[in-house]
Amino acid sequence: MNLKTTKFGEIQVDKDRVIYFEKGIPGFDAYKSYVLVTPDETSPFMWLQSIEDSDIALTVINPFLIMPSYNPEVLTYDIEEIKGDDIKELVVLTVVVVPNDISKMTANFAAPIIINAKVNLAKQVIVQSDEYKVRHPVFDSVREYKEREVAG
Amino acid sequence: MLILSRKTEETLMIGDNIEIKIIEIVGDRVKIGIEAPKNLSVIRGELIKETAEANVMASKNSSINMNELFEKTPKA
Repeated sequence: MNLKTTKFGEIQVDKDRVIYFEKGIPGFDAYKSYVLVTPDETSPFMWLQSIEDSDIALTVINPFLIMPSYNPEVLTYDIEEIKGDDIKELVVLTVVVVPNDISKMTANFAAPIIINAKVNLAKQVIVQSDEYKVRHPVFDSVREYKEREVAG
Repeated sequence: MLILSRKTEETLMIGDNIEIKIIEIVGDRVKIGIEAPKNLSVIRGELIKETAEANVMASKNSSINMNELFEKTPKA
């Protein structure tokens, strides 16, 4: 299907790739269906584009790229809710806030988005410890990732 | 809302298997220990609100060209 988006113009979305958040996500509880947009394959940044509202697209990143030690403890029932019986099928993303001054960008390590890629069910879960922050500065980590991964 | 007064080291029981203990009180900060079953979510109350705010902000990351975000990040 074709999807009109504010950030990416009109894009093609394969119905099989629509990710369903049964309870929405905090701040956007009413919106359940998203698609992961990767406009630049060389960039670690991706966007969770709402199917229902063309304006809503959240910047996300694979947290392990910028925090290799990331090891969030999540509740079994959160994983059961997305029918996650195989850990290999789970994809973890963190939401990135990018202010005008991009050096102040932060990632929400306290509330990762977990997607069961097998059935495309997802949930933004709250981790069960105080060690991860909602606004964790990540600019330096992204720079270091770029230094490591991108030649030239 | 049920309101109770507790001193350091005193506890509250919620049902049979949730125990809340006042560990320490310093100024306006109270350190609380919680014993609860593993399948029960225990999080700071502000976390959902802070996450909602961060999500809304993340959807407004529009002032920059999305395709260039990584390009614009200088190397370390």
